[in-house]
Amino acid sequence: MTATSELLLFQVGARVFGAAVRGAVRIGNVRDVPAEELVVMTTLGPPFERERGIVVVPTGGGERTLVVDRVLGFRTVEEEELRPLPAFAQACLSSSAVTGFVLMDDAPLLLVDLPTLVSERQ
Amino acid sequence: MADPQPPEQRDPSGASAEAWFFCLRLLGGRYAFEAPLVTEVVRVGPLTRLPAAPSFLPGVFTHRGEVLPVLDIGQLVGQGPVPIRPSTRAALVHCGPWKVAVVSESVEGLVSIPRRQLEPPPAESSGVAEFLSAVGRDRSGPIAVLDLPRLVESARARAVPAGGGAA
Amino acid sequence: MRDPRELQEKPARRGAAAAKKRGGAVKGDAARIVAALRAVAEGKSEVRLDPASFSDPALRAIATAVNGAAVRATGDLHDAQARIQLVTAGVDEAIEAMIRLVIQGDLSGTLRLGVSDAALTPLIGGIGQVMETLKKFVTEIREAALQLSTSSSEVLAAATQNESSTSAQASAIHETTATMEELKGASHQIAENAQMVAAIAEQTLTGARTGEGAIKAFMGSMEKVRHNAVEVDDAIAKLSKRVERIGTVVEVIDEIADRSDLLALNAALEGAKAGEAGRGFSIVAAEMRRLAENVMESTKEIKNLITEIREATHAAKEASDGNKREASEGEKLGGNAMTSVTGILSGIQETSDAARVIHLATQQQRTATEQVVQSMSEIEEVTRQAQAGSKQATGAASELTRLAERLAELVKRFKVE
Repeated sequence: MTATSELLLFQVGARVFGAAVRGAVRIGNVRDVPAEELVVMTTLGPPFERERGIVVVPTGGGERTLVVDRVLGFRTVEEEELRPLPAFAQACLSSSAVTGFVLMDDAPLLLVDLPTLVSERQ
Repeated sequence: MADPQPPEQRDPSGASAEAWFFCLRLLGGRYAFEAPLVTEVVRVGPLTRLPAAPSFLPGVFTHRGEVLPVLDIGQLVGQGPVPIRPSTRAALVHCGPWKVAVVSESVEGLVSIPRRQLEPPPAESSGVAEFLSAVGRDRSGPIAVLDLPRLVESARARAVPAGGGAA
Repeated sequence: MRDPRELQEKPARRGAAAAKKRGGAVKGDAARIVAALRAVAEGKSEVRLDPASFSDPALRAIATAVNGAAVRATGDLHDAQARIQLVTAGVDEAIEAMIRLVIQGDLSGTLRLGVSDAALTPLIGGIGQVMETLKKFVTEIREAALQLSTSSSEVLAAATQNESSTSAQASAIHETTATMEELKGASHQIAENAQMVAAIAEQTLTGARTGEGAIKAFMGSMEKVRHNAVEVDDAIAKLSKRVERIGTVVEVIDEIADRSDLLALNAALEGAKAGEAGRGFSIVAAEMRRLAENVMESTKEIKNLITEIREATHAAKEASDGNKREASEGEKLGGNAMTSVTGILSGIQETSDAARVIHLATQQQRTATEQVVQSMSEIEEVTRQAQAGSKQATGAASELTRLAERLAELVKRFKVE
């Protein structure tokens, strides 16, 4: 059996991103989350609406809710569909939240590390 | 490709009298760099933008299953972006640990420039001129020779002013 | 009888026979007088004796007296005749005046007769009174006709206005009824979708029971799902059944669908984290999500319909301000449930229950909707009756106006000034 990864696909603004499911604690609403736990602006840009939240444990512990437009669903991908970030790109990006890509229909879908993403406050 | 040089022009030390470069049209001029740096010429596919990326890195694209970053020298030297269309060609280069696709207006390919035609670059060090290692000419006209490894390294250094990016 | 003229003829015979017939003459003279008196008595008052023809002084005096009496009688007769003519003329005039009155309606003058005679006074007086009475009568009728015309115009105007406003009301209510019918159809859709969720949950329940061994491994994580579903039940329990709160019901259904979506998302997340072992459940969760999204699509349509209903009802003077209540559960519902999902069996059971409750809620909504449609039909009926009533009123008012005009026309014929 080939190794697979489970990805959570979500949409922020006009773009879809993927993340390893182990980075997500749960999925919830945004309404009743205290403001200090909300993460609205990240390196991925702002969402259009505040529809859903992905609860993530940041590097420092506790809980943060990443505000996204939609949670699209889940996808199982083969290990061989994953691509790391090219070294030059990795060296030039000011954020280390983007970890690589998954090739979906030959187009690269960005993979982000959720704990890193919510820890890098903008 | 230029004709191979006649044997009588060979220099007795064994070094050839001609240097091989890879030439691109870019910023309205002809720019070249050391030929061994180039591995392939590719057509640039649809670009995927990267968040938190500098302006000279407009995105990445996939080529034969590999994800490649694009380097826009025009944006790097502040002379405006190289227009990227479906027909845009890029030269895949290896500069040390970095593998990038340098976009151009068009690709000329390998050119040979007689070494005696190579001169030091002009003194001004603004814009693209700060990355030139030499200027020369061949049959088709003037060529500016870029020190590509230095250019790429400079780009990287500019991108992350406060650190915290490189993993 | 001898012709009196004959008595005045033959003056020559008087002298000759006078002496001879003095005795006979006296008899003759007396006979003449008697004849003359008889003639007067018979009404021939123009008879005259010639006193000079009587030799006897006594007879002469009698003859003079007879003449005097005859003259007097003649005078009296003439007087009487003249008076009769006057009175006759006066009566004729009075009759003419009455005829004018009747034919031409001219009450403007007073009766003046060319002749005056005491005997006519009561007649003139009587006619005058009749004319005055008629004048008054006509004046009153004219005034009444004018008032009647004004009043009937006002009634007509009011009736026409009433007719058009009841007409507008009727069409607004008809619109409301039509929209409510659409609402019934859309809520039927929701009920169907909810039933499908319940059906799939049932299927999964059966499959899960046979694979209980593997599923028991998820008991811990599905506890979270159950908690969430219980809180979903709480949300459902708050549904109100009134027409004015249909919008809130839809909001809550929307919330439930949203919660179901969250449920499914988090169930799929847990399934994904468990990798291969959670595969089957992830599929069910994905299916639930799809159905939850269908429900939310339907509620969107209903919300649009509800907006239309609200506008239509407002136009028919029914305020329908719905409160949009925010469900208070918030993220805690999904969050708390998701942190400890235990018991996949009870989790699916609760999902099935939740779906069933959605179904019940939409049934309740449908009943409420049917009630609204019923009420709307009743209101429509009442409005139709009101419309019919106001049409009648309009008809009667126009008829009245026409009659008033005719009366005014009739009365115009009488001049009173």
